[in-house]
Amino acid sequence: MATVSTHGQPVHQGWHVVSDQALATDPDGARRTWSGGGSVLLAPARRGVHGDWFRAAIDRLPAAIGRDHLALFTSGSTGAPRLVIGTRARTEALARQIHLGQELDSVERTVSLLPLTYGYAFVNQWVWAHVHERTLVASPGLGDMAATRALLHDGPDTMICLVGPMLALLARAIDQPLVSVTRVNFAGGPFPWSERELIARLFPRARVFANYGCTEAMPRLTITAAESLRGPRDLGAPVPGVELAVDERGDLRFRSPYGAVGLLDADGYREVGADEWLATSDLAEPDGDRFRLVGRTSEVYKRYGEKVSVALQLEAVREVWPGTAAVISEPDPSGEPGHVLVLAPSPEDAAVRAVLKVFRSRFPRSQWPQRVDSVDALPLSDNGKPDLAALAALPRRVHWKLPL
Amino acid sequence: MSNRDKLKQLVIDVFLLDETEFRFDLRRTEIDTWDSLGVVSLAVGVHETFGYHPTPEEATALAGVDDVIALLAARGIALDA
Repeated sequence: MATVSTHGQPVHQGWHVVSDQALATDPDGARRTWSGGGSVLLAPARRGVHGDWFRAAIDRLPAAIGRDHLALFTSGSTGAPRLVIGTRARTEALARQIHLGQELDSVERTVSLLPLTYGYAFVNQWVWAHVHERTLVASPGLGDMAATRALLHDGPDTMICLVGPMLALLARAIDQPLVSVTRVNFAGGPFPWSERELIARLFPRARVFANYGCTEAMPRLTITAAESLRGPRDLGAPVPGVELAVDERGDLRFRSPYGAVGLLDADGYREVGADEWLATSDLAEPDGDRFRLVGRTSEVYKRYGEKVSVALQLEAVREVWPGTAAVISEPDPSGEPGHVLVLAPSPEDAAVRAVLKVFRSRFPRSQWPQRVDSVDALPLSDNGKPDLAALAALPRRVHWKLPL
Repeated sequence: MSNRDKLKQLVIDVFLLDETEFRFDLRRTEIDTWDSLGVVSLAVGVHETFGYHPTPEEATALAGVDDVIALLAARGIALDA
């Protein structure tokens, strides 16, 4: 039988199932929950599972981790729901490393634009504000641009966390520099390398940081000042204590003193060993003392025996296409795996030709998309990334099609 | 669109040419993207556009745009239509 915590969140086996709304609107209650000795499970608003899924998942966890632990919900690269479990002590230690790595001493507050149940925002903003006794202001995000603009234009020195696709939307809605912002973080996808001028224009006082990680890292592995990045695919410098390595297949793996201590999926719960290397679900290649991202394991597929990296293609497209772009999977007419490039907003013919020229000059025919389609705007998920399932279901204009 | 324009657009789309690169006397050796998969793609495109599916032998024997015109003409598909 569930009981109810001090601020109205359900408790089951010592676990508090915490929503975006609770984190944003009841900061004192959320702080009491975080520090109160129980464990916290972050439950995104739209997560594709019933509320009962969390109760059933908690029932499958060892009773011992019902204290001082944190669980992140993810569908990861597999699409199957699961929980990644860390500890409160590890998470707070990572927030201290984030404070140092992003030089946050002078920052007085953080304004949330992403859902706070998203591991990136939760640790980099909510936990950071809690550990370092800073103010966290919940904004309506991209849902109310006027309010968000007012919040970011005036106020004390502010840190924000974004994902790359949010930039285009911010730029469309905001016509003046956001001068209270002194730190801008990017994570949750490739750093928007081609948008550096736009970032400088929108946030003229800000230092900008590229962050890389994954849910299993809880969630941070690297923090790098944007001006120190060697290129758009540079993963940057590991957080002190974090080790990165690639195996013979190119899978990027890590060991982290801040990372997951347990994993729960359809096969059950398993503890993560103290010296265990965990997969990031990304592919990378060495670049001196760092690593360069090749793509998500799920974004690299074989077509006619050749590896196709969706990330590399999108990176090349961004050099000639100022709008947004995404790739959805679609087999070609012969049944061979393939993909479709989707641009937004709708391009002129010359822009389509410029994109096709990039494919001709840089990629073998076997890696070309099946089609170039467009929509008015890419649908985004709650965490600001393109919602590929929603995009696949949208009616789209066809601008170019390869017969096979 | 005339059959002539349809063929021009097909060759541009299949081989990702600039419009300025296209000529009706363009040879396969002048197009870097007319590779083995390009042969298959062109054959499928000819079928989709003109309704005639070249045999594998016919597709691999195509050495230029003018060969496509000749192949279509032999099947009663005139380019000036």
